[in-house]
Amino acid sequence: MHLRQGLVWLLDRINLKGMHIAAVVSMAVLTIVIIAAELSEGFKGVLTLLAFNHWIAKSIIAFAVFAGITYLMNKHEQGFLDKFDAEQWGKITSISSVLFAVIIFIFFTLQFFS
Amino acid sequence: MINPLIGLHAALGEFAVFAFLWVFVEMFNPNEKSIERAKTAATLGVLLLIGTWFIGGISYIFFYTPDVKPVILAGPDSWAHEIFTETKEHIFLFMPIIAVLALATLNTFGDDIIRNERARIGLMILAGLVVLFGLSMAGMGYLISSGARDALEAGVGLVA
Repeated sequence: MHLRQGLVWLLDRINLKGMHIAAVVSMAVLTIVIIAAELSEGFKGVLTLLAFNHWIAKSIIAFAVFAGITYLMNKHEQGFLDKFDAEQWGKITSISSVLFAVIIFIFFTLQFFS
Repeated sequence: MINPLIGLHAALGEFAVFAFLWVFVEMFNPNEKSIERAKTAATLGVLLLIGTWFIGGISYIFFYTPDVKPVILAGPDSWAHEIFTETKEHIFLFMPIIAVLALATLNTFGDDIIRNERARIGLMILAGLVVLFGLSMAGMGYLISSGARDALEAGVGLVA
């Protein structure tokens, strides 16, 4: 119960538009990092060096970009919630995430067949 | 030997999917009580996803990569790793982000969701997306374990 109250306290102070932008940007960055690491062994080596395993490094990058942009964009204007269109942003974020997921799947499929 | 971490990873992930399915269903006809239940479900879902992230990471790095990956790659279904493990391990990273976004939407709008149709639909899109990604994870997990089974049936890893 305390944990839920803590999460509620943290998350009901968030600028949702900034958080949606953070989500789209972090997934885009992640997609670029994933493809770059597959195309460049040197880059994959750097990621491995940074965090023991390239997957851990990618996890940290995704979380850091998401948290960082959410924090930077967390300015509340008066009545921001009235202006925020949750449906439109839900669609933008979901279409982006599906698009990035499809790009990743197609990339690994092409890499397998090449 | 069967690694219990794989089962725990899958179980936590499946319960996370159920939690966001619960959120999705509560939003069909929301009232004060269903908003409270949805908040509990979404919080649980986020915690379960973080759990499956850590457990999956541990089993991927310390069990899958040294023991299972070479078997699949040497077997008849190397695509199971090269396409589906690679895709699954990376697309998974989208899920906690979308789940936190759904929880934040629910907490920020709170009871206003009852009157705000667009907020309700926005939340349903995010919760539904977590469910769809979660189901695709389960499907890819099935293909990966089938790849390992096929390799073992083909005699990969047997000492002559």
